[in-house]
Amino acid sequence: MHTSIPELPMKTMPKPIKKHSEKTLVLLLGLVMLLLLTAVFAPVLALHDPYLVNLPQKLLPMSSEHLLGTDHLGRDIFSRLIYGTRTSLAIILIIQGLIMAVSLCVGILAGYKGGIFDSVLMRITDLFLALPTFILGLFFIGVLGVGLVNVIVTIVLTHWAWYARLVRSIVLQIKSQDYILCAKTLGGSDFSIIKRHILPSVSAQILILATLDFGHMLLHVAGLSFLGLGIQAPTAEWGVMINDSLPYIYTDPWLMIIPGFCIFIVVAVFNSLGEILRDTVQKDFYPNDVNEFSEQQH
Amino acid sequence: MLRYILKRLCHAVLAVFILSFAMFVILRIGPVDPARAYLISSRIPVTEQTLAVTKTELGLDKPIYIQYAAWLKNALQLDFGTSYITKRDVFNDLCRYFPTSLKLAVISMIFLVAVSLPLGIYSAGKKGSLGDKCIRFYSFLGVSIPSFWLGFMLLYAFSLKLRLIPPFGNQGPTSYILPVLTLSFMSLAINIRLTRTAFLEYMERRSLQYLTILGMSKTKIYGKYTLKNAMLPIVTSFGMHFGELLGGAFVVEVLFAFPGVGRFMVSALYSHDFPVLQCFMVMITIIFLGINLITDILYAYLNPRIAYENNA
Repeated sequence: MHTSIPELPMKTMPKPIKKHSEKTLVLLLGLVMLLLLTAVFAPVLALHDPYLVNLPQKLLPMSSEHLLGTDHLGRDIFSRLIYGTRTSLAIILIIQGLIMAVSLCVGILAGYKGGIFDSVLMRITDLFLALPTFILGLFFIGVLGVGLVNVIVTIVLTHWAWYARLVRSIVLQIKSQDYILCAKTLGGSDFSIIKRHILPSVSAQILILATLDFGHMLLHVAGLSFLGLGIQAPTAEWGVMINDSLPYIYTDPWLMIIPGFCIFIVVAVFNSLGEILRDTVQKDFYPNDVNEFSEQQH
Repeated sequence: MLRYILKRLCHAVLAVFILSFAMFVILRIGPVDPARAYLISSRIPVTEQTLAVTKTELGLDKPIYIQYAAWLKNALQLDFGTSYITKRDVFNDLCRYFPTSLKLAVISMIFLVAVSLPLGIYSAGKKGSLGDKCIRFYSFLGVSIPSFWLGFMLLYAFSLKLRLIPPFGNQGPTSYILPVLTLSFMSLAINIRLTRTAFLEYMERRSLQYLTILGMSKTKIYGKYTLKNAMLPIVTSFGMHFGELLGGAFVVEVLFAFPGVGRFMVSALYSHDFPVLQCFMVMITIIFLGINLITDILYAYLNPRIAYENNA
């Protein structure tokens, strides 16, 4: 009698990529390309110098001359937005490059070597994981001071441990696979095993995570700039533009609405892109915490 | 269970000491010289002579572990030194501002739990319905909107245009509405989604299907068995989000001109007011590790296996 109950899967099977999400994927990649092109060709697209102060022309409304009007110093908002794309994207890319470099080194060393390396490195990551990222970020800003470079260092310092932990758990999982054992038996050196078998697979997954985290970091940088503790004026950056606009928000709300909306769109694009990528790559290959990570870490 | 709680408590206390020491060391070896920061904040010209005097005055010429021991001895008596800028007692100042921020975070936390659980469960139970779709759209939107931007939009709409809520400062209970909404907007989106996933995952278990076959009512299955098991990841997430809410509270306070610790900390951070920073971080660490402890205990209560495994 009991055998007639159909076998139910314990966990949902990985779904093949759905038709409509394929279309969405193309759309999202298109938007990311557009963003990158905007950043690269900023000098061509911007109609005015984003740093040119022109006080008689301050706080102008939208017009054909100034597409989105001008700010409190008479600078063209549209041009500042375009250059802001450049600053924001470049910062996040640098941050993520650094985080990946650090976390891959630490995570692979800890996961692959194990033993004393592992214990020491994991205790160090514990220290960095003990507090929420934003509060830890405030602490490092207090230690290092404000400014562009310090923001980059701060965000790398507050996030690398999360990534290192994940790299380690992925490496531990790969390490127990038969093909690694096989490579070892055939006399492969540690270096070649890491280079040929572990690194490619780990970095592919970390890249997906980085995409998922792109928006979160953009919000982080903008949040610091908003408090005046991040990138400083007059740099054309979205968070700085919002901070600049604070004294004028009741008379000229557009000064804040426009850059905020840009941040929102970019974050939304990267969030959905990361999610599709994550769902497409076999979900059950991840250690569980990768999925939890992306949902809890914000 | 009691043994488990005591063990976690010891860990937490130890962690406070280790973290405070780590922060103490980082503050001293960082690129900013505390003596120089002190002089600049006090508007005393920075010369070699004044630097040397300040170093002796602040005890910075002694080895770092002696400095830490001295600091710890005072800190245990709740004396965290005086601010470089205001020259007032740091602990008193923070005690004046901190409760408002904490209150904001706690109210947001209560709001978060009270709203995300029912919505997440509803969304999982009626998977694919219009309500579920709306909730999922919100949880997508919520993680992408910058909180300070949202806060400003709410402020503009409700306080300036509709004049429903006082725009600035703490003027009674209605002042909390917009900050709480702004603060919990993102955490709410994340937690609704997490609740939904946790419930959906657990609802597919064979044990639950068996209960259905036995004829148990749906309410009892959801309320008693699914809830308790699905709560495990949710409790962890709530614990983590309290920290996020507290951090976010500083941003929101600045926006809504709330008399919390936000503004105070921004100026202290900007001018490297190290005693304030150190005291603030110790307070945050204690609060956060306390929350972690509560989460751990709740977790062990929901899943007694954890306490047993840890004691074995």
